[in-house]
This record gives sequence, structure tokens and C-alpha cells, in this order.
Amino acid sequence: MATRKITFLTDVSLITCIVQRGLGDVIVKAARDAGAQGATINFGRGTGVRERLGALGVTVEVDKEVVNIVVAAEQVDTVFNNIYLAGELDTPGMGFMYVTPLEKAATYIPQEVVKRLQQSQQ
Amino acid sequence: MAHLHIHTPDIAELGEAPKLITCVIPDEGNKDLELLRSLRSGGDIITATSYQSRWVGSLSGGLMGDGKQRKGRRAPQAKAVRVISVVVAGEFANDVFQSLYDQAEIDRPEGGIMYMGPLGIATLFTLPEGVTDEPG
Repeated sequence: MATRKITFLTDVSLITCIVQRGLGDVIVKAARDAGAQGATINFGRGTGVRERLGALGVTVEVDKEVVNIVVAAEQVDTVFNNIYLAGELDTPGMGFMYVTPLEKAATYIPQEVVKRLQQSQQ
Repeated sequence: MAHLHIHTPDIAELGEAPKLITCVIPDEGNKDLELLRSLRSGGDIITATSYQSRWVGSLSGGLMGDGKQRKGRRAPQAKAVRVISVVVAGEFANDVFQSLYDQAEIDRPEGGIMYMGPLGIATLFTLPEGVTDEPG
């Protein structure tokens, strides 16, 4: 079987953000506002911080949304900061976020985009 | 200053550091199960799972975004997707990535995205003898 040619994207990172259920769309909007293309959103359940927040813990939703966003390395800081501010992650119990470096990513890239990228790299 | 010593058992003879491959594909029936079967029969992976998720955005045409600000625009409708997560030994990672890319038909409009990154450490997932294949 002949294998098809893959156009890889390198210098990419994965931003993972865990927030209370219902806030995933806020995170995605903030990421898109900063230039990210899209995101996956999964449901999850969290534990840990609620117990530490005492009476305030009851206001922290136990159901979570886990948002994964792939972004170019050069966009990571912008997207990360935008999400941080939009998700109010500086407020205790609001959520948590981290960046994982990726080796490569692949998707459908229209030929005209590939040509444009090749020309810009020459 | 106290030092914490943690005994780490010899958990893997994985050769090169393991990798995590993540593949997001449109929700098209049992395609994720077909891919899992194919990965299992290939024998080069450590473990693979599939789960449902939703995707907001375009599933192709500039995964990395164009860097343009989109403030004020409404987010597109969310799509149902299946996410396949594969742990594979480093020496097989590129081959498995290529194979999954071909079989999942990522290279088509709205075909999905996939990415691969390093894992620090992973356990082997060895099944006992005599486990029959799951139906379906």
C-alpha cells in the first residue's frame, strides 16, 4: 500500500485547561480570540481543591470540563494569557492550566497554504 | 534539607522513551473502533483508547490558527468527535503515526487532526494469557 505524504507541523504545543463545567466555551472563545483554531472539550470530575476551600468549597463545581488546544509555539504565551484572564484562573478554585510540548502535528492543509508556507520559508 | 527517595520499580523495557499519539477524528460510526482494531493487530503499541468529545472550531485548514484576532465573532457550532489516544514505544512512534494518519484519512477537509508528544514514563499494559477479543 502506498503511503501518502504527510505535511507535519512542528514547534507546536498543547494547552490543557481544566475548569468548572459550563466554562469550557469561555476558554475556547478566549483561545480563538487569541488566534487558536479550535479545541476539544471533554467532561470530567475533579477533586482536591474543594476540600481545601472550606465553606467556599460548595461553590466550586465538582464536574469539570477539560479543554485541549493545539497552538503554534509562537502563539502559546498569547493564548495562555488570554485563557488565564478569561477563565479567571487567578481566583482560587476556578481552574488549572498547563502546556505540553508536542513533537509534531498533522491535519489537512490546503495546497495553496502549503505553497504559501514554502515560499515564506525560502 | 530532607530528600525524598522513591523506589521506582523496573516497569518497562520500552527502548526509546514512549510517546503519546492523539488523534481527533469526526464522529463517523465505528471508525474509531476500526482504528483500534487495526492498532491492536499491528502489535507495535502499548495501549490505545478511544473516547467521545466535542470539537469547537474547524477540523482542518490551519490547525495552528492564523494568528488573527476574532474578537466578537461567535464560535462555530460544536461537532461530535472521537479522540483516539495511543501510547507507543519511541522506536515505533513515527510508523504508528504515519499508519494512523493514512487509515484515519486525516488528509481531507474536516478529516481531523493528530499530534504526538513525549511521555516521561509509561507502564506496560500486558494482558494475561487467554483473554478473548471483545465483541463489536
